Amino acid sequence: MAEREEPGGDRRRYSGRPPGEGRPAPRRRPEEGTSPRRAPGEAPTPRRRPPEGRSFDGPPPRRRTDAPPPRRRPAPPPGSTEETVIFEPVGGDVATEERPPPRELGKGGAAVRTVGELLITAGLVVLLFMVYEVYVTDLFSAGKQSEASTELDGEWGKDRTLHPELVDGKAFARIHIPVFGADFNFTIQEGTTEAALEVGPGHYKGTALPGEPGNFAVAGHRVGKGAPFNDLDNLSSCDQIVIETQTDFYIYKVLPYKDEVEGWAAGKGAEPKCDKVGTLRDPNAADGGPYGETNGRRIVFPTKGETVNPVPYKDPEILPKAEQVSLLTLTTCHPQFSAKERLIIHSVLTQQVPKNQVGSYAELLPKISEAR
Amino acid sequence: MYGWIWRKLPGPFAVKLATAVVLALGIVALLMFVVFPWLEPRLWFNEVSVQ
Repeated sequence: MAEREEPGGDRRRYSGRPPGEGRPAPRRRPEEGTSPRRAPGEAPTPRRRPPEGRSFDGPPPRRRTDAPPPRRRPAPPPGSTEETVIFEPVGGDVATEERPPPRELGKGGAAVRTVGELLITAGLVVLLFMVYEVYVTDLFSAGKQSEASTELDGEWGKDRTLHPELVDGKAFARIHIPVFGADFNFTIQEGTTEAALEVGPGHYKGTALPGEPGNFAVAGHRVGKGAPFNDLDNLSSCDQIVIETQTDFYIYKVLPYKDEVEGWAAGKGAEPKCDKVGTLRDPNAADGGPYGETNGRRIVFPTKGETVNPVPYKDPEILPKAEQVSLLTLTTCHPQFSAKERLIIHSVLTQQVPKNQVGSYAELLPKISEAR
Repeated sequence: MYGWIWRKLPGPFAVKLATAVVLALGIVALLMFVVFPWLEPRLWFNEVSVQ
């Protein structure tokens, strides 16, 4: 990137002396700051402070009566009035050597250099894009999310009886995950388009609504854009996921993981926090029945659209709506920083709390934490 | 390339440096606010849904 230097510009710092001159005798550096400067023509003044370190409190040093008035400069520390001697630098001979003049780049050389510079620039742009993806989109999304949240609050405050209308890209519910912190909440937008997901998690169009039998499915980003579902892999079975709508709180709990299904009722399922969480498996069917594949966490390929079916991974007609379980499914990309697979969290509705009983999430949180 | 730009910048060193910094920041802003938002939906690794 550096260009040709001005002639001699860089060499200045090596040595001003032309080569071949003898080694310089130790000389006084004219601009030495610590030694008091002598006025032109002035006779060498006697040392103001003897080098033996005698202090001024002792017998006054011999002073010429015609000495000039005391200078304003503070007395230099002992020893510094001695002549400053410049020693040869170690390897001083090298420093005085002439540097060979930079070779002129030919046409080819200049082209190679330009290509190199372009490649370095391209690398920097790619790095910058990664910074954008991981951090800057967070900033943009934070603004959109807070806007959507304010708007949702305003709408909910207006009319409590109105049935929520689903408008593409507009928020209609809110998700809270207590284990991620009391302040973890995002609005849920209708649709899973890029624009909707920039604001926050998005509801798969056509899937059930919160609390309904069937599968309320929500997608969210894991990296960048607010990364609402960044920590989804940290959820464990029976962790609560709260969906807030205009009228109700719906408390879902993560279903048992595959390795916990065996002996669930006697094992983890007996813990108080797993109250009302079953395996959903049909004990009479070898494959577990309609919900045999619905475990708390699954990793699937992106093409597995059946994940968000009313009965996940099964034909939509397998069960009539009345027999369907109310599920909440969260999807995000997996592994982190990749889109090769999808991380799926399935949870089941365990409780519905109308807002006329518990007004806000802040009031609800201590009540539902007791069981944990 | 960078050397050529540097030589084209007018003024003494301090002015050149300030102009260069402003130019670099301008390019970063252009990338962040225009190019990347346009480019991003055309890439494949932002998908989080199943279909």
